[in-house]
Amino acid sequence: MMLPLLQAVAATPSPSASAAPSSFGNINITFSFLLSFLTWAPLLVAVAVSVIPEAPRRRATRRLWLIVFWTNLLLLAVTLVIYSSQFNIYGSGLQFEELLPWIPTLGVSYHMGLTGIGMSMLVLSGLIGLAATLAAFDLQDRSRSFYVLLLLAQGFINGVIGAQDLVLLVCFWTASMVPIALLVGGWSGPRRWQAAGRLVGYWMLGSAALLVASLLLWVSTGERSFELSALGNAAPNWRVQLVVALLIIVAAGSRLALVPLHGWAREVLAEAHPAVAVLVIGSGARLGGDLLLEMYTGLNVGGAHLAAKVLMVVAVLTVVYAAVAAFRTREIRRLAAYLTLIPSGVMALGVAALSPMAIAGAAFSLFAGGLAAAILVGAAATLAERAQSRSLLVVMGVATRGPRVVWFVLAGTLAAIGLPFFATFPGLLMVLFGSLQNEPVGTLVMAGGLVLAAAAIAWLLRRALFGRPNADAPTPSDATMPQAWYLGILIAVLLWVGLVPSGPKLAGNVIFDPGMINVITQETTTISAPFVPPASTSSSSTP
Amino acid sequence: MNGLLLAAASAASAASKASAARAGHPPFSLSNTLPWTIPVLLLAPLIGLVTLLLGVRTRRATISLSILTAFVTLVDAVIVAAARFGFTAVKRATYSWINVSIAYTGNTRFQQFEIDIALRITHAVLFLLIGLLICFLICLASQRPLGRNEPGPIRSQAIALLLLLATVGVLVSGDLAELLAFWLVAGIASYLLTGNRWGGDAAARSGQIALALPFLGDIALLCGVALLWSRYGITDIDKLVPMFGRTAGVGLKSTDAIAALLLVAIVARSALFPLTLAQTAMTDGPPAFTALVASVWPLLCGYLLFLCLPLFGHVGPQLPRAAGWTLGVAAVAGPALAILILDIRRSMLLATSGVVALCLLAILYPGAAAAGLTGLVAVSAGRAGMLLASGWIVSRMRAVDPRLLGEGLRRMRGATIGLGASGVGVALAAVAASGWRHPSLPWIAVAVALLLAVAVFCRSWGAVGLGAVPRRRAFEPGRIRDASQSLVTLVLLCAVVAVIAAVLAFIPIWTEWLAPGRPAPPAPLDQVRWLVPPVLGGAIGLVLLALRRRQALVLSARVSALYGRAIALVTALIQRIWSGAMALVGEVELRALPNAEGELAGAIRASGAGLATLPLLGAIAVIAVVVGVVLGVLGLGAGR
Repeated sequence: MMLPLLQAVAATPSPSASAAPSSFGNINITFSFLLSFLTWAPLLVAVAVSVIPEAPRRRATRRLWLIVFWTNLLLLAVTLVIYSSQFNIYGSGLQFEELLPWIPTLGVSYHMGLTGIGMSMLVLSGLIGLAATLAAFDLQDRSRSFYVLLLLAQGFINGVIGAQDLVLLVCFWTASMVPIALLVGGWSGPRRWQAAGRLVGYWMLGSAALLVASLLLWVSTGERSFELSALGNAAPNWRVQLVVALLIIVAAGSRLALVPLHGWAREVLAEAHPAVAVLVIGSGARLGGDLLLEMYTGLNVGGAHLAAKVLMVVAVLTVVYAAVAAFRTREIRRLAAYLTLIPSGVMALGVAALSPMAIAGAAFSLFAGGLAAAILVGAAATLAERAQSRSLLVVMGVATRGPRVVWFVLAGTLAAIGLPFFATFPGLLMVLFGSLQNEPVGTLVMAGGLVLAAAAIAWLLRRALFGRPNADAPTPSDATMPQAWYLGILIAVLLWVGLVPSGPKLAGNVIFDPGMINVITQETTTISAPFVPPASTSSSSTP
Repeated sequence: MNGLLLAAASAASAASKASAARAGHPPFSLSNTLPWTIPVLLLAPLIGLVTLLLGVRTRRATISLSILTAFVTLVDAVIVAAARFGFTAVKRATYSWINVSIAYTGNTRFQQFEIDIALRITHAVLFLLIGLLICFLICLASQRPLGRNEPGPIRSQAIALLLLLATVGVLVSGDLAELLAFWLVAGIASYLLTGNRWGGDAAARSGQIALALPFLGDIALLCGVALLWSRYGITDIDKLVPMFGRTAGVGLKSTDAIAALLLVAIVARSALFPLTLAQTAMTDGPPAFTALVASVWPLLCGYLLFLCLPLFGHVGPQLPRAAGWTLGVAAVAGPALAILILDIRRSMLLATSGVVALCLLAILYPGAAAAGLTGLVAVSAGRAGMLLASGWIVSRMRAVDPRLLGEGLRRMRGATIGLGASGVGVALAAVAASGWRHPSLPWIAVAVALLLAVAVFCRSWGAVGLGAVPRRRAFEPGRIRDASQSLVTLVLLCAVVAVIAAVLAFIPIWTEWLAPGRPAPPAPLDQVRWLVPPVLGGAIGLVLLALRRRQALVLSARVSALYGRAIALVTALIQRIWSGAMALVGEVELRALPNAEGELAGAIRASGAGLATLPLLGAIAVIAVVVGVVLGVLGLGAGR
């Protein structure tokens, strides 16, 4: 059943829009519509969910959940099959390309395509979507609206990942904010509307910055095209390049929650429903990293060089600040929110270093950091829920009553600082290896920030998990089965990618996973080509 | 993982070849077993761990499985050692883990990112491996008598096996990035082991320190390896060595920085002064696991230093001097601090930290590296024995203060003798590590360290074994019983291993075998001369205790109180700086950011209000233009 569907949606992984036709029954398909399928299918299901007739409350909720669950499972399955067998890791350029003219007078087109980084982001989005659905298993309150918004957010996020036209990207980018803001504002914590307001404020600021940067790039090309590839050929003067680079940093930083644009993260991740928090930090916020890699380094090489120091300072500041702020806070979910900034900071440092290794590491960290952040936020929300309090002054010594929660929190926190066996480790390793080539001071300061983060984690673990239980606090309980499932799935993937980043091989042959690192470097070698230092400066080794 | 899969496949194929060869009755050679025995060094702990996680559910069975796993790994290591006994060349088995292109142009050194699971076998590795596995076996076996009431037996044994996997991985690693990965895992496993008593404040506190403080060293190692890659483009130790000093664009500054970072990692993880807290804080954990962690890390740190010696040969002149001073100061300061501590387990850990520093110092100097490594095995085994014995003594006497201990030789003869024998092993190791240098002025510090370490040890042992037990409320000395026969045997085994290893360090043939091609050893008379300081230290410690037991310990307590005040001052200073950072963050979080957010919101509101004050016609015009643009854009799109 899956194969014809795949043939239909992923007709070709070729790097051109006018691909060779393939057949699906009697229909000849002239181009892939994989990305459109992954973008629009959730939106169509969302519409369907919104019009399904009412049923008795409990049955209706379960039925709606099952629809959303199977939709997500299907999307993830399609993505995984494409990832494992259809995506060409040896080819360069876009794959699964779709090109339809939209507003030719302005040079706007419906152009979708997939690169290595995009492929990893799609896998991440699929996993996070499934995890968010599982996290919402017990949701009873206005479940129809919740699931509709969840599916809408997923569709728009996939749209951003696939968009190869700047207008299309800005549209999806801004559109993704709306369902997420409503999800944050509609469900969970007492300060949820303040959190939603902050999210809209910061993300709108990012959207405005992205729009202005896009227009500046468009104007400087002198061509009527918003194609990302065409904008990459623009050669504006250095002032424009710098401004564009700074605007992209603002746009990406507002999503990635880089300091000082992190104001939304501490509120949203502390207040939102666990499913929403996982979705926001797991895939919604990672779009910022995707933007940094695709636009900051990919389109604006001169600007990237000019603004590298700024981004480096922001990245280092993010890691150090997050660690100190984590120490300061007395709320479990807020503490986890601060710790999730660390993978973002590591990723941003990789981009700022502008060396091929660091950029490859940043792209890998984008995927791994998304998973780690989602686990951390989900585990903290689970801990707070099971302990019936968010306050670290109340929640103490949960380990004796909830061993499953302990391992989830432990996995999330340790993954956030990039310890081995987790996928964040190769990412951190690559970022540090590459960053020390160009930015030794910043990298060492960031490493100091990681030590502080470890101290904050040690404090959290001592206080909330391993210390003496608080006799006056409500009795905590262990994670429920859906919570264990969604966190377990994310941890398993993080471990799998960490243990076999190049994919499992038998006698030198790929078995079923081409390796996330191979998929990602398919594109990063191209993106980082302008930043390769010339061989003459420090190449030859003397005997 | 990929590498391990390949290793398993190659091990299986090698085994089948071996069985096929047997069918044809070729002459048996241990060398033929190497293709499968080397991967089994890592596979055995991994399989043990997975088996334990998947199906074993009782305390007794988990301990038995852990012991069996450590035993199988030890037997395998012995087979590999026998096979490689006569060969001095490095034996490698390499499996690719990460191998990707990151650039197609530019410097060829930085076009590929490659990390291999390289299993690198040398004589030094095999010796350390056997020493490590013996320590593991003893500590895991001692969990039977010592850990009857320990919580989470399955969890703790699983973590112990994870530590076994990681430590074996560190020792056999031929790639520094691979070594780093195993090193970090070993760090986490150590943290989880020492904090195994969930729900207790003391264990949680010690766990907090055990995670945070040594992580400083782990990050230093991470940065060191990263800096190494950023300069040389590889992390494989055998490929790196020929590049040291011969690579264009890599100057002394870089090599100095790399060596300094590695040194920080070594000092932090072996818990030398001033980072001794990492190990002294964990004495409230389970005794068997505390002993395990305390004995494992000096070996790993020593091996890392030994592995990176070629790098230290290409650094500037200041760095070896600084390293020497750092380790020298640690060697003296550790035992000196131990005098002030009135907790026998902590004072023994501090005293042995001085001996560890002496062994590391020996590794750093040409000619003494093999003696230093051998000494470290002796210290590890001796430390394990001391901590196991003292763990029992403290739990039976229900006191850690030497003023409250005594009559050990009468009431707990086995444990007290074991404690003493282990101490002798450690002292001999210290002599062995120091004896390879001719006595000279700077080495007076080493002599002082030796003297202090042995004096502290003798004081602690004397406090336990000699004198009368002071009367205390709700404490009945008559009910004190000696450790079980099995525990005494294990402690004595530690002592025997320590003494054998220490004696080996005096034998030139052994040191030549361990580190071939090193300079000739000093004259035996020089080595004997180094026996004077420990003998003197032991005499001082015991005589002082015998003559003025109460006064000596009270004096220690007073000086300890002064030291405590000094530490409190330093802590207050650090807290002041730290609270400044916290206040700054608080200022940003509570004032600056909300203010900025408020300003932004105000600006948006003001723009809306501004629009409202426009004349009606103007407002309509603005709205019309906006709507027109939107409709126009949509219309253009729809028209297509």
